[in-house]
Amino acid sequence: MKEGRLIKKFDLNKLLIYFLLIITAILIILPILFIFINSFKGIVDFTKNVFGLPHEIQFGNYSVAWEQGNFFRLISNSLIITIISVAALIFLGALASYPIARKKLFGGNFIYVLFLSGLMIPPQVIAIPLFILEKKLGLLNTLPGLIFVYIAAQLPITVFIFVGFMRGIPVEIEEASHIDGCSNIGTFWRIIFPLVKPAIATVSILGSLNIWNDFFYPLILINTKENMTVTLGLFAFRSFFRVTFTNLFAYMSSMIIPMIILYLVLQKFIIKGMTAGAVKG
Amino acid sequence: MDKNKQKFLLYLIILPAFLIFLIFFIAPFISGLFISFTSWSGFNEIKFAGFKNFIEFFTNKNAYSALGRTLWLTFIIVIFQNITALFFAVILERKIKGKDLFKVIFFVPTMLSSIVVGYMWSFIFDPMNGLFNKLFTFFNLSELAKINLLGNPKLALYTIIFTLLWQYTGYTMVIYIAGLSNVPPELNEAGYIDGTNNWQNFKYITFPMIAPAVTINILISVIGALKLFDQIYVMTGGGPGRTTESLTLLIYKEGFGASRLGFGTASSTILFILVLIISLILLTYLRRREIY
Repeated sequence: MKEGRLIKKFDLNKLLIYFLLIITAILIILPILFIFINSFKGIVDFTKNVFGLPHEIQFGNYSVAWEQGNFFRLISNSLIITIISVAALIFLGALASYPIARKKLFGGNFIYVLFLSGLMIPPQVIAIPLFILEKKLGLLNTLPGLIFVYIAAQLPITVFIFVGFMRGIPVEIEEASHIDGCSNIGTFWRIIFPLVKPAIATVSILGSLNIWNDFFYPLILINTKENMTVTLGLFAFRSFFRVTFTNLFAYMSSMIIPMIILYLVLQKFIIKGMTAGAVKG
Repeated sequence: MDKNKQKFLLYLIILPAFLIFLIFFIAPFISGLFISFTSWSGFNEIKFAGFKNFIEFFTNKNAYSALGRTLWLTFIIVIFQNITALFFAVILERKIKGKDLFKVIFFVPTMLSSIVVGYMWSFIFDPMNGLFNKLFTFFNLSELAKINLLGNPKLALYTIIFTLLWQYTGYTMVIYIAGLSNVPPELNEAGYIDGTNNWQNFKYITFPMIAPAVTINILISVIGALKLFDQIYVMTGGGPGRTTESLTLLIYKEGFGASRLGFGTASSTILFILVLIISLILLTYLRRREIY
């Protein structure tokens, strides 16, 4: 009798849990689906029929978004900026982290703390002087101007991850390499760098997402049409003359869909990389 | 001599990263501190103004209420984001069919740009063509349909908070799941043998064991909320009135709109001090309750 009641209660719990999970999943998928489906409607179809499937599938919104919104130019800007910044972060970040993590250098700890202090400085804190600096250096409205800022802004988390990871490598491996006559730099290239692959993966995932999705730095540093990133491009496209809701949906879908496909292909890798970055601390 | 050369090389490989960081991060930070004590507009001569900007900040209603609003917003986001995330993490840690699928779905918003998410929800909440409006109209709830979630001074801030929770809870959840997977199942079993129930097990065994994940999640959500800008900027621009204006938005408007660089950087300095103090307090407190 008692056992029977227990089983029933357990099932009810399970049912409730599934109900909650499914509702939440719908709450997450539905808004994205809403944007995607409506990007294939004409504006009249959209206002009359928000919920349903398009009466007639139209690709017109996409041609407006891609041509007037200059979408492919901006996507390639974003790609260039992200790839160069992340490559520099991996290369320069790992190089700088090695002596900090493994060598007793005078001032090494100070440099490390200085890097880490960047974790507590929001972009808005440095925004105004940064604008003045870039203007003075002639970097305003240029891609290199953004790339330098992204490298600087992502270095704190990058160095943090690399140093944490390098400190976990057994000292013996390095000593053996020194005995074999390898210099410091040689040891770094041949021994340490190949061993920190997981850290490189984390740095590339975190860095790419942060840089690709960023909106604030382009907002303050870029105002020429050709050099915008895709996020700033969406903002600019919205304020264009005669841009309709459905045009915007097409622009947004063009940003969302590649991201989701990439995510679905690499999801295990991405989730692992992003949590490793957080949990290592 | 050779040893010195090796040492020199070690400094040399730190240099490129360090220089970029110094020029594009630390230098603006320090010159920001300096400008905050001046009354510079970017064009006139730089004049030292003492604490004038800071005094103005705490006597100007717009400024100090932006500060208060930022704190309130941070408080709500941290509480709700962490409780919801932990709740789902605990559920998905159990042996449940399809848990990997739910985990993958819940993490999707993390991948999206904050500005895309901001626009997406402002279309859904749009009082004319939005999903909510049409839904309520469809069910003949015209009173509810009339509510403008982003245009109502009392509701707008909470509408934005909802959007943020939608976007960031999945990430927090995944970090909690990683923390939970480190808790040895034997501990919970031992608890059950001693006659504890689920809630007691969670409170006395699981929760203390995931203290490091709690620390990192609270820190990430606090700092994230304090520096929140994008969603507010695209969804309301600080409006209606100034009811959703955060400290970050105030900085942007003063610095880039009104060209009051002294006052803008003073607000930046206050934001920095806020982040610093809150993180240090949290870090000391949260680290103390970690067992290892």
